[in-house]
Amino acid sequence: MALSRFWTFMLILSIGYVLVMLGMGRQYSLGSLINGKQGEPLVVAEVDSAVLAGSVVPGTVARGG
Amino acid sequence: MQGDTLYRLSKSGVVSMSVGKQGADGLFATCRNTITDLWLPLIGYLTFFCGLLNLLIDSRAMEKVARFLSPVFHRVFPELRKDHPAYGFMTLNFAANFLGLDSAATPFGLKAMESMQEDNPNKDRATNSQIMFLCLHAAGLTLLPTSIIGYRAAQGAANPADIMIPTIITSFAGTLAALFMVAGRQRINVFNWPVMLSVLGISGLIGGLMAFIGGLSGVSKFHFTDNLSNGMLLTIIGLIVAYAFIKEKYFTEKGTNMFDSFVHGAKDGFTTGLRVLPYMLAMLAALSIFRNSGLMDIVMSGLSWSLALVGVSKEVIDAIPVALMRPFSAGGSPGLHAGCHEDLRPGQHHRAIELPVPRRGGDHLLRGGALLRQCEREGQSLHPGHHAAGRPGVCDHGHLRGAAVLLTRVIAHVAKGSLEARSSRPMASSKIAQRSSKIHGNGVFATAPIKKGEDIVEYKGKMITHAEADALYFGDIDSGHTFLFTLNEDWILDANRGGNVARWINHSCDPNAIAFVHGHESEDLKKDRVIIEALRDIKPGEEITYDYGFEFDIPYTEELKQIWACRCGSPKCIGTMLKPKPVKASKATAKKIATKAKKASVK
Repeated sequence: MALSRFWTFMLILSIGYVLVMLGMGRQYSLGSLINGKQGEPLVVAEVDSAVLAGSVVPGTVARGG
Repeated sequence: MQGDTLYRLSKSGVVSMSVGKQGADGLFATCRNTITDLWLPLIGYLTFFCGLLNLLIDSRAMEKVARFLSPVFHRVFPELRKDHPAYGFMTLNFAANFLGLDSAATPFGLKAMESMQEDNPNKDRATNSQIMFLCLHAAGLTLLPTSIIGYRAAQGAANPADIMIPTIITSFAGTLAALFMVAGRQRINVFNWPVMLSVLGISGLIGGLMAFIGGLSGVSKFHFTDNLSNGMLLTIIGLIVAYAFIKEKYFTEKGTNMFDSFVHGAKDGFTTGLRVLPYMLAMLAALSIFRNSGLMDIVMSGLSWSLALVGVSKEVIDAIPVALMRPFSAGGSPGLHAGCHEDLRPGQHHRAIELPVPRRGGDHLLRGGALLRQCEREGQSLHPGHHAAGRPGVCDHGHLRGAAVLLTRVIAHVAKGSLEARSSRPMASSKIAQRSSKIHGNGVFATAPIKKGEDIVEYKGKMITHAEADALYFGDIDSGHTFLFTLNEDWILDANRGGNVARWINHSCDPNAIAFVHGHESEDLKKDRVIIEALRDIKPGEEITYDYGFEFDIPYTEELKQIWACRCGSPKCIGTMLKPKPVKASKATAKKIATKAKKASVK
């Protein structure tokens, strides 16, 4: 019985918590919970590369020298 | 959870920023891996070991083991009759735990439980014997913690076997605590001579083993424990089969033979395996969601905070998640444990410092760094003309951290065509031969003209992980004859095994060749290759050399430079194989390089 309760609460609380975090914008994606793999980078933001093309790449070139 | 920031550019043109790493597999991966990585192997172990157990039963060895141990076991498990078959299963379970063979212990433990359950009058309530056995099993007295040593080796511990003595002490203390506490709760008197003699005997065995292992050092410790535990397992298997063969008449009396008996037991093991799957899957799936939701971190943080208030040290607090997980999931706790090793693993920088004295064989951590810099330079077109399409970016280190990865990724997509073209180019390996060298020992010489830009030979060897390299070659300072080449952050080519002529190529400060890591277009790091390429035209008889590019994260003392003295004899020789430490470029220099790179990319 104790194990059953523990298992049930673990599932319900975890799912509830993650949905609340998503709603509050503190969780970027739920993909990692379902399809992710251990050790994979946790994506926290995504942008279109066109936004960065003019700034990041030349900056990186200068940095590497 | 904070960590390195990683930028990745997908083919769709979206740049994703990641911070930290996922703590556990997602739900689908957990379900899949529970089947493939946990359940299927468990079925295999269960099938095999239950087959062996049946040989023990049919040869009546189990009865003898039970009778022999009954003076002790009957006092610890007074509910069970003196010749109960569970004694034999328990013995094998404890023996497998002693040897740190968790996978082998599980089948015996399950069979012991099943056996005790047959005599259980109330099937829904565990008997005292089952509880005692569970507690003793969970305490897990371990003499040779081979699994833990394996995790540590896999995570690059300097001396993976260092864990042995602490493990023996803690597991022994835990077992005694379990024995006395459960015995006290069940009102069993364990202070009698058979039990005490057993405790003293095991203590003596542990003391002797600790004394012997304490005298070993470094790799010897790891090799000894590994061989001892596996050797004992093989011996036990051999003894079971040999005993069954000697007592073959018992099999004949039962109208069977040894093989049929094994198969019968194996079928039983398979059935047991089928029964445990739903339990494993239910718990591991829930744990996956619990961990990945971040709720577990919060619970653990709260727990840690509470324990810190009462003065529990941080080292103990850090281990609590594993300790809490252990009773719930034997599969989940090793996962958390491995995660702890991963979190505590020193980074490349620290690993370089870890080396007491840099050595030729142990340079894999360092030579990789040099190659990486070569790739970065290449990305900036400082080595134009090395590639079929004359475009930069053959070095595709898809997992580099920081903003630099963005650049290499962008360029890698541009250079994809040239990579494919390059892989089909012929090698000049028929134009070289190994001979004695004036530089150092053996060398590789051109036997025919080799043109500038020509691929000379691929550096081949067995692919091993950094952790394996550390385990195999750490401390091998004086040998000077191991041939490790960092392929990427995951893999190392060990040319000691499966190596070719390329391993004999010497270093020079004025090299005529260069080593490039060629990243495969897929992101499979295992498919990367190292190609030695001619920097200029090479005449027949000329020795092939390339710049090893050693670089250490420790100060270059005179002693260090001497250890790494260069004997290339070139007028440009700087006297050491150590590469000068990079000097931070001024803003003006950086601007010049940026302009040069822009022009090159326009071409």
